[in-house]
Amino acid sequence: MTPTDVDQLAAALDAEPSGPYGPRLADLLALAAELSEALTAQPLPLTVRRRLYRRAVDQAETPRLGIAGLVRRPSLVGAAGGVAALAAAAVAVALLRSRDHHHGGIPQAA
Amino acid sequence: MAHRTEAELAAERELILAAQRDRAAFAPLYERYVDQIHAYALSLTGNRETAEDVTAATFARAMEELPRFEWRGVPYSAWLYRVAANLVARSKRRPGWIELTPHLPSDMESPEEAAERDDRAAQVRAAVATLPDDQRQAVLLRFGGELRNREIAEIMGRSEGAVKLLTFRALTTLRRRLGAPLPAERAARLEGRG
Repeated sequence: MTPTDVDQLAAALDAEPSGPYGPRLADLLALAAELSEALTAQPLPLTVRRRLYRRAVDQAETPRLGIAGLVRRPSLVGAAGGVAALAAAAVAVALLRSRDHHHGGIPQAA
Repeated sequence: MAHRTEAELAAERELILAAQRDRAAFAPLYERYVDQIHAYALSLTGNRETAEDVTAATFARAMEELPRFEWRGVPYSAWLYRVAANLVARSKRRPGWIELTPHLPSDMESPEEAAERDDRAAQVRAAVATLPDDQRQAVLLRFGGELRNREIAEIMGRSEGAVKLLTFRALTTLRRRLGAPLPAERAARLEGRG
């Protein structure tokens, strides 16, 4: 543990190494060193690293379904909006034709 | 607790810019952080399968968001940790036990020394697993993720002062539970056995 580390941890703990927290800080610094050693990530086996990378790529490239997926993909929102607009237009035309049929259609100008 | 230097941060920024130009260039970022994110997820979930799910999903999100990622002068891992933390929070499977991954012995130490170190590391990790969630997360990010308080604060959505307090409380609790012999004392014990 370097003097810089000591200073940083002291700052994190709002304590000065030479101040009233001195002895306690020394203990905590030793513990901090142990934590760094115990919690430092160990390398994953190569096979696991590769497998997880493939999974990540697959997930990133697979379009998500559902509202959350649509919200996350503005291009899909645009496409869905276009399809919905076309469908609405088709329904409107069908309704107009149906009404015209029941009412004998639009009178032709003489 | 080796925080990134300005030069290291600048190099990381270049990696991100390269990956934004070409997704194939994302691999070095993945290689740099996959171990940390997996270890973090494993520590939070205590389940290897869930940790792998979280790890893969975190990097999938990273690839998806890469075009919109904006550099803010903090390690890229801070962003990854935040995504992983959110994914873990959504996970319903959070058993009260933790898997312990043994350290690989180095060539520089005897089997007895390696066993002693592994035992102690296992004790430390088990003690960390018993901390309240917020204290455990602060400790994992600081000592496992090597992040600064302000970076941890951003990930956890807390103030920097709150993170300092969480870390201090966690260390005090761990010190009480572990007894934390000083490294010199442990070295003396090892010599006594030899």
